Amino acid sequence: MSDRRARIVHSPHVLDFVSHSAAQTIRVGQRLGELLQRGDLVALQGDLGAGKTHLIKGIALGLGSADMVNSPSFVLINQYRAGVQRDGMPIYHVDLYRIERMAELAGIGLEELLDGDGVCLIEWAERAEGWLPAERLDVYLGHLSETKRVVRFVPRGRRYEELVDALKKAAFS
Amino acid sequence: MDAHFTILALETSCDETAAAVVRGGRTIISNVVASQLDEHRRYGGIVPEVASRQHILALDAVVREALQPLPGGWNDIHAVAATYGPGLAGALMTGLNAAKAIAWIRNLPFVGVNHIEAHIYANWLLAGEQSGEPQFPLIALVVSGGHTLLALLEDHGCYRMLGQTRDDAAGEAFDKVARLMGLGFPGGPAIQQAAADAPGGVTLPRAWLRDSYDFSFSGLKTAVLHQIREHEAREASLQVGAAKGATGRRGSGPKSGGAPPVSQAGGPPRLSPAFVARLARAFQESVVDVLVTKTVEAARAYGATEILLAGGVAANVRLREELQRRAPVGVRVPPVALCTDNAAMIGAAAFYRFDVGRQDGWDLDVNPGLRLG
Repeated sequence: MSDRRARIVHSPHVLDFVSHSAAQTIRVGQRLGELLQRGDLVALQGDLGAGKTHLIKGIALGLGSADMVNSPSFVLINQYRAGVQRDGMPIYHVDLYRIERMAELAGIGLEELLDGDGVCLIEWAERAEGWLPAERLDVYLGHLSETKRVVRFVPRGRRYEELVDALKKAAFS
Repeated sequence: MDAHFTILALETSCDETAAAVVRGGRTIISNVVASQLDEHRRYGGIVPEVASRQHILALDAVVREALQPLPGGWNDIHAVAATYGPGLAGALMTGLNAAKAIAWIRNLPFVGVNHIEAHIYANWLLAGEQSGEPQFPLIALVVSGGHTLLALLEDHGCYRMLGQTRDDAAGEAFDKVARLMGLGFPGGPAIQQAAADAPGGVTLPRAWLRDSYDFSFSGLKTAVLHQIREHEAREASLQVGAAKGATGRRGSGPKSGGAPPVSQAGGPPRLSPAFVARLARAFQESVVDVLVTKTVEAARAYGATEILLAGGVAANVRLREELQRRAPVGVRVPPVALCTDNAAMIGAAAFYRFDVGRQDGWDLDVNPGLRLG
């Protein structure tokens, strides 16, 4: 565990970002959404109120979706449609808040979402640790103050390293 | 339509296995609910796989019990209905397939029902004092663990969504905040109980989202979180002060003389009951204020003859009281047993759906993300 953390810190592809408001979290999400492609997986981790749903609102906007993005805690999976410029591909918004053990993941249909016909965004992804594909974009969100949040993008695999590099360029240069 | 038309309805969208027989859309002949609450309570939430399995185990007995009051048994049923969404895919599938199988084998019409619409139709069911049918146009506020929405009902099957939650559902906010405060699951009753008789004095923000009937509760959830963190930090610094032998102890924590409330890293917070009570009250008042204000505005704007309250959170006493106090028209609230998930409401919704000529084929599939309208 500590090995892995050390590697993250030294990776040149990791991106840290301090958001000063929910609106700013949405905007960075939007930049990320513009770069996502069919088959991409974004795994979000962070406490209640850390801004996971806000980031996903932004990602959906960036993908050109006009759908209302809200918390899928009850049904576990919400599905939205990306804009026409993205061929209206599905955006899967998964919330594992209610899942406490890996065994409970059976039967919610997560496997099908990862088949690659759309973009998959997973909140409380730590609850599916060991089950998710090794190649993905991990996003960690944490509280700094009542309005400030720290957001850390950690790419796993080549595709996602390129993605984070592109995000750095798009959002911060 | 025939006032004797009798529907067998099944509901398995989440964690209740329910079957009911409803006559003429309004009269409950039977209403059986097998709750899985105990199965899920230990998990602090709903476990999809467990839910589906429990539905399969419970359905047969629940349906048989629902049919018991009918002298002719199966022969007295004229149509079969079931929820097809929204809900958990696996859970929905058990009830929907059972209903389709029954309808097919008995050669009866089959009607698929939207769970959210059915919550609204709980207001058509006769319960206790007999009252007339609700008259359109109506404003419906649906508040539950999965939904928070305001709808304008112009006729049967004719809805307009006026607003919905932009983040957490009201019931979900209750669940999450209860968890933050170390109260149990489900959060609604836990917070209501903690808030009862609590002193005021704490005010939490309200997300008004001006010029919109939409709702937002995630900012409120965050505000609660920060109140808890500040409280913990304050308590911790007092502890340090006390350990150093400081005498100027301020604040009015619980004088129980027991262990001081210190949060444990990783575990649920151990907060003083007085603090939790004040915070629970402030949270509940904030949610109720926004829900009631927007509903009342909508009722005025659209000239509603009545307001219909629906969904599990309609069981909240403060919400009922405030809505009744501030509404310009009458407020209809189903009894608590018909606010939470049940199949009688599915039977009522199915009746009015069938009445306007809606019927479904065997190809109707579950739709976990189904929305209203």
